[in-house]
Amino acid sequence: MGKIRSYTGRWILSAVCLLVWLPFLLMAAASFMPEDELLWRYLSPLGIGKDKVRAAFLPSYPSLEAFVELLVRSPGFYVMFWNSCIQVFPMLAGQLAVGAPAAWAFARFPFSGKRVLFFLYVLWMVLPFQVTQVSNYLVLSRVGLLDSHVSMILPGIWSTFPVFIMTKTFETVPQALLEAAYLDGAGEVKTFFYVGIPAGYPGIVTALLLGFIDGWNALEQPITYLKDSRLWPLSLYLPNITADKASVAFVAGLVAMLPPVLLYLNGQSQIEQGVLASGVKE
Amino acid sequence: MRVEQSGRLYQKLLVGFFLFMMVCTIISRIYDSVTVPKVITASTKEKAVEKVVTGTGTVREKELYFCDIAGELKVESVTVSLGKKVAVGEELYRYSLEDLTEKLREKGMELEKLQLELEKEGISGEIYDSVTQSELAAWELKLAQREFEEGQIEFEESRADYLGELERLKKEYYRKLELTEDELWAQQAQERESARNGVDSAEQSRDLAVTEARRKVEDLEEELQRLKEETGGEGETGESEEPGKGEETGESEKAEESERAEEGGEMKDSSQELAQTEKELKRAREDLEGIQARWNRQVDDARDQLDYLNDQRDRIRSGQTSSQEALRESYEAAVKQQEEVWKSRQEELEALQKNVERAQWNAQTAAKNDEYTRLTNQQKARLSQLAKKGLELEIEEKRREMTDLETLIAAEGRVYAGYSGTVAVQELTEGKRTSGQERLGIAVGTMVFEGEFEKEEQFLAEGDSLQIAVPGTNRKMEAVVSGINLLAEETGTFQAELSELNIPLGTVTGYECRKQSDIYRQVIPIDGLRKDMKGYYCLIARPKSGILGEEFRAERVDVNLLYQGSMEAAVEGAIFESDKIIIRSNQMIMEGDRVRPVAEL
Repeated sequence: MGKIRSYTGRWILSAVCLLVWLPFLLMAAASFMPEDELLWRYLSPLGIGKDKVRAAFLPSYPSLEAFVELLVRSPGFYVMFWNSCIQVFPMLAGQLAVGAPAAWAFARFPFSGKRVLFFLYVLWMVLPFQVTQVSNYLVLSRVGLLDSHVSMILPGIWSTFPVFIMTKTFETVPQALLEAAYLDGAGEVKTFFYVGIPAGYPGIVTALLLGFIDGWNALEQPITYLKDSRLWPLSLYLPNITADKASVAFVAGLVAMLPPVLLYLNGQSQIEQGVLASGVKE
Repeated sequence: MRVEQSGRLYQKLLVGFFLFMMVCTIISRIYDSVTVPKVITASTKEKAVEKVVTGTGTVREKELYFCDIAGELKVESVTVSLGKKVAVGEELYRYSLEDLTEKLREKGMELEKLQLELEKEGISGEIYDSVTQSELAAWELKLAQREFEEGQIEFEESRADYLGELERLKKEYYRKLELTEDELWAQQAQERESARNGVDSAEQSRDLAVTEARRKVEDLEEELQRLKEETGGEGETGESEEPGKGEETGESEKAEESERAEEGGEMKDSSQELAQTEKELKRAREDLEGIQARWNRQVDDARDQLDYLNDQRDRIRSGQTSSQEALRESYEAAVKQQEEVWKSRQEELEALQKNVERAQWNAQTAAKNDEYTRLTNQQKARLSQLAKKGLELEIEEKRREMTDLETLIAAEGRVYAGYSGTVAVQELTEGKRTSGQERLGIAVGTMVFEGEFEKEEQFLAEGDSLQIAVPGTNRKMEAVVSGINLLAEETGTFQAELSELNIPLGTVTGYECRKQSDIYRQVIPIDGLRKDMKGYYCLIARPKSGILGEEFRAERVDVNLLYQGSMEAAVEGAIFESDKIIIRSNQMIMEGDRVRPVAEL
């Protein structure tokens, strides 16, 4: 009786979980549809007419035309893809260079005003982008960095979220391990690089991965800071696509989704540990 | 271990993904560079537009003289062909001598026929005098008046007789009143006998008079029939002569007379005699009817008298009435009879008076008819004169034809050129008989070049200089347009006199005419001018900032076409000197397409 109940519960939960995959499956199916079939099925969502939606998980006439169109005939897509890479990876490097030492300081060094300062960090983290948008714009304008990749990289480097994540991870490093390093003659810097970073690796990976996703999907920042379309990241490709290339949009969505997914798969175990660490208290 | 393997796989996938994207980036750029249309551009210039009008035309003669070709003659030989130059007096062709002789004979017979017709026309046009209707009507009026006067005299005499008879009857009555019954009875028997004799006498007299009148009618009918047969006239006149249709007959007679007058035939006298006889027949029939009526009435009266006396006798015998009363009745009946006789005399006189009035009216109508007849005769005479004139002309023509034939026969059928020139039309065939429609034309003097041009696109005007290709050479000769014909809907034709005369007639060759327009501010190559439903426009390659950097896109600019030349067009629109107007491309391009300006395709 207990087994039956257990299996029933699993099936119900599995079915509910599948609902989460529904948009992805529909998008994947739509990317294989020819243009005419796509328009016939999704006229209303595409803003053409008021016909009912005829969603399908399998296209009636599967086609790779949209893939060819995007991957071969759309050079603009690659410009935006590499723009995203140019803007996101340096930003992550900057976050690592700035955020990791800051987090180490918050985690390992006692100093006056530490709690207040960390509170401000947390406060800054929870503030929405729109609150700081104008001030950021003014600063970037004053220093002449608007309409450049730096305008996307520089504000990201000073993000407080990685500091928060990494602080929590560094706090989990055992004190005995650090004392052993000191006893072996390691200074603060050596201890940070040879003990702190390896020990806090899951948190660092988690922070970088979440930072990557945040930067990869950034929409308001490029709209605000970048006027030159040559600098636009991939996140602006979809809003600028026209209805007559709707199938291309679905393919572009799939391709744009791949880097975060692959990165997640590569750092899956570290992320789990990092997230866990950020939530665990000694 | 398993986690390590999957981790390596994910790493490979990640690296592979980025490598794939890199490769695709290169491929897409290569593909883009290949597929983006290459275009050649040009800019506007301020200059005149040159229009080159080209086309073809035919070398034709300026003046053409045709030979007179007779019909229905066999062509023995033709010595000239199309395009051959001939001199005056040179033989062109030759007719068959036998045909010419036969033709001359036929023409002679036709001439004779025409002369006979002329003579006939002259005879038929002659008009002779005859008794007019007015004269006839006057005679009838006179006759009616005389009858009326005689009737008046008779009327006066009958009135005296009437009064005397009344007096006699009165005296007789008073005398008989004094007679006895027996005497009266005997008197009445005598009167009955007398009445019976009166009936017999009246019947005999009636038969005699009617027979005489009927015979007269029959004689006139025979006479009328004879006249009709002589004149060949229609029988309607006789058939219409039925008793009781006097007036209708009279009208039909007039109509027939009018018709006859219109026909203007030569049977005028016979017709008048016929009309006279018809009139006499009509009167005879009327007389017959009158005699029959009058005598029937007299016979009836006599019978009535006899019946009355018999009845009176019966009544006296049966005692219904006395002899005295019967005597009175007889007296009153006799008086009444005299009064009726007197009344009939009055009616006869009135009838005679009406006859006079009718005759007067006929006299008036006859005058009008005579005038109509006179005018018809005049018309007939004029028509006859015209017909004679036409026949005379035909005779003259025949004589001229005969003279021509005789000339041809004298020349043994040979026909010579009357002008020096080139044979431009030759439709004669040796051994075939001509229909008269064939032509043989000689072009004389200079030659002209005739060509066509489109009125809308390639307008030519008088005075334009043409370059005409000389067939068989690379040379071109110059000619000036001397005449334009714009009557056709879409095309016009022109003529230009040629200075050279050694080009064969009918040669088709090309021409070219270069025309300069006024100076225009915006002149573009003709390839840059496009047209669709909205009108004329240009596609301009304008730089736009895009994802791939600065790129050129085809932008539509509407223009007004001011003048279109052969290679350029003058337009008016929002085009600047720096604008790159797309004039050619290696692909079909539309508004908004990315393009790549190049120097050469």
